[in-house]
Amino acid sequence: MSLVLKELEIIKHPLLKTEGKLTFSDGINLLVGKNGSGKTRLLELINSCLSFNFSRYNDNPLLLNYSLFDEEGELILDVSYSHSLNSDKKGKEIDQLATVYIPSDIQNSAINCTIRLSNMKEEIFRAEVNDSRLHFMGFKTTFNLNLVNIDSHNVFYKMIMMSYSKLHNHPQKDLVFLQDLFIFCTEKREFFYEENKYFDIFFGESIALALPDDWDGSEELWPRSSNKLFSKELFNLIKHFNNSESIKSLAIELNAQNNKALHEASVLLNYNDLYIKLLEPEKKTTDDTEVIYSWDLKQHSFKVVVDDETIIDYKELSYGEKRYILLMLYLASNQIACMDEPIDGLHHSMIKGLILKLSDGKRQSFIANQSPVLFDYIEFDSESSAIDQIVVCKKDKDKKLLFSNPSKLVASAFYQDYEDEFLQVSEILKNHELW
Amino acid sequence: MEVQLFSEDSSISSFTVIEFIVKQVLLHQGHSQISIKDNVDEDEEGKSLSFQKVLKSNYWYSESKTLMRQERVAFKKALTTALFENKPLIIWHFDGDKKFSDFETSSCVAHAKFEEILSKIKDEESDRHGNTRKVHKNNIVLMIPCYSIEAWLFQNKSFYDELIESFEKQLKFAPESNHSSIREIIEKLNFLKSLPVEEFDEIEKIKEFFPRDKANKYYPLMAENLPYDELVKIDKSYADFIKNLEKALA
Repeated sequence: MSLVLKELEIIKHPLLKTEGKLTFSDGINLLVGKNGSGKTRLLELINSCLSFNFSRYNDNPLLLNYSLFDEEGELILDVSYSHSLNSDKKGKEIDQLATVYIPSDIQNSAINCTIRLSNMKEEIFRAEVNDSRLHFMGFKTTFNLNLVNIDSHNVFYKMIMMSYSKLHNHPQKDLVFLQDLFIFCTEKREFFYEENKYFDIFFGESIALALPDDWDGSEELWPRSSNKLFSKELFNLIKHFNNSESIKSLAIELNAQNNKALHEASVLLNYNDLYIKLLEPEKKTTDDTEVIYSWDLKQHSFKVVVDDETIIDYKELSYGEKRYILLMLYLASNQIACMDEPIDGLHHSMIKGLILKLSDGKRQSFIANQSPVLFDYIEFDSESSAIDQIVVCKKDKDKKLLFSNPSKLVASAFYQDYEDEFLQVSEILKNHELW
Repeated sequence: MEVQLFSEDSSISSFTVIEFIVKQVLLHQGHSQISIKDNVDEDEEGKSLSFQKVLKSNYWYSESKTLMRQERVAFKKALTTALFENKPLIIWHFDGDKKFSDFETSSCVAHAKFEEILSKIKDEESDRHGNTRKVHKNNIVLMIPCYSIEAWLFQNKSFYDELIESFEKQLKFAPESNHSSIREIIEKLNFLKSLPVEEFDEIEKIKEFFPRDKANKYYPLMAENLPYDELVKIDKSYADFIKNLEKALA
């Protein structure tokens, strides 16, 4: 289980408001309310809290208090966000991401040095303790990661890693809002070299590529840092392997055999195989004899093996099939899931598959949803879990977006109806005016 | 007479046997033109599949709940609807999974769950159109054979000689390696044949005493010639079923 968001209280924001502290379950959390009640806004805020990226709040002052939890303990964060661009000593631009106030009981035990991520030559990310505050700074450059000089509480380690990965790779938003998304991810990537031999590389974190609808395939049109990182990583690897004379060809392939998410999706969708393949890069030599490897990302293929004789392109799949595969791939490599209307276009068997995946005990998820079909699959363990799992979103009389957990009284009545099992969850939510 | 039959038996052959027994019992009770249906009606908005799934897989009382709540709700809604005014007699079969005498100390899991469900159904419920309708809980007749429906079927002893003879013949031709298993079957059939009728409700897992591959052929035959009047006299699970039925029809 990754870091879990336990509590969140918005102290100050012109539009968003919480009624006391919101509490969350470490499983599936539902954001419920009418259209325009702020479900997506809350989802974005939660995503920011977990990714330590508050840049979307540049225009408005934001003051909040939230607590994160992992197996090793709880960390309470008071975050005041201020956005400014500074220059570091090397003259590079750095982005002041957020300032975190560290509780005094953790100050001494957890943080006693600067946490630095670098590629040995240059620093690429840094978190520093100063005046009881943890300052997150990201340098606008990306490279392969090497962790140095980390002497910290595991919570902080995870914070930094998440913060870094979210900085450069922000799949939640892309997944939610882009219709056509190609995610490249795996726990294990296989590099083929010298026919029939394999070289396995473990990356850990996945890389996500969001293809804009108007993308023409050129590398220049990859403005997102995530894509840059992906390209850089790929090019470095190609360089590394192509320097070896023994390598005859290079390709990357994920399929139902080596990727659990693709396997699960292929079983549910009744296809023989699903595979994603990136083909061999092109090798060029410049005037100064420097070898450049370029990878025409248009060459990637995402194929579906229908049966022994039929292979179709991913694009020929239905809208729902594509969404389901992408959701499975996304969840395979993301421990925290913030999803806005995730079941759009999905058959109920896929919805069930999704809920089972979200209930695997490995992740905390936040779902903004208007579909009774999804609500009806959600399970509750107790009255208190009903309080934590539901966040009611509504506009208050001042037109502010107000977020709250159900009261103990309402949760008790809700859970009683849930236990009786004469009504579906969506009906109970409606009956108690939670939705 | 219209009867709605809820049965946990999922295979067509087992269900047919239950259906046949119910029909015979009602005929013995003097009823005629009996129509038995095992599906919920059109009021259930296409939920009949879920309903059957939860009923026949015992999900309605099982502890294994993973993502089955929707089906259980559909089932309870179907039950409530069936209990509305003008609905037919509901005969609900589930095996006792206990010896009859053990029921004196505690009921079976399914029975306890049934009572719990029934206690939560109000005397009046709203249908899907929002109209308040009276619920007739007395329409439900429980049919709980102990240990299972085989306890009733096996009391028809007219087929044991024929069966034992066929297995004895097998002994002559079967390879020696199979002899011990065939002898075991013969032994079990002889046990059933010699068992006093009042003991059938007291045998755990009684169906294991009968050769499984003969069930499809013999169960319907046994049901057809079941000594219904004798079964009542034994005053065990079958008699309880008849008492329940008479009470509902009174």
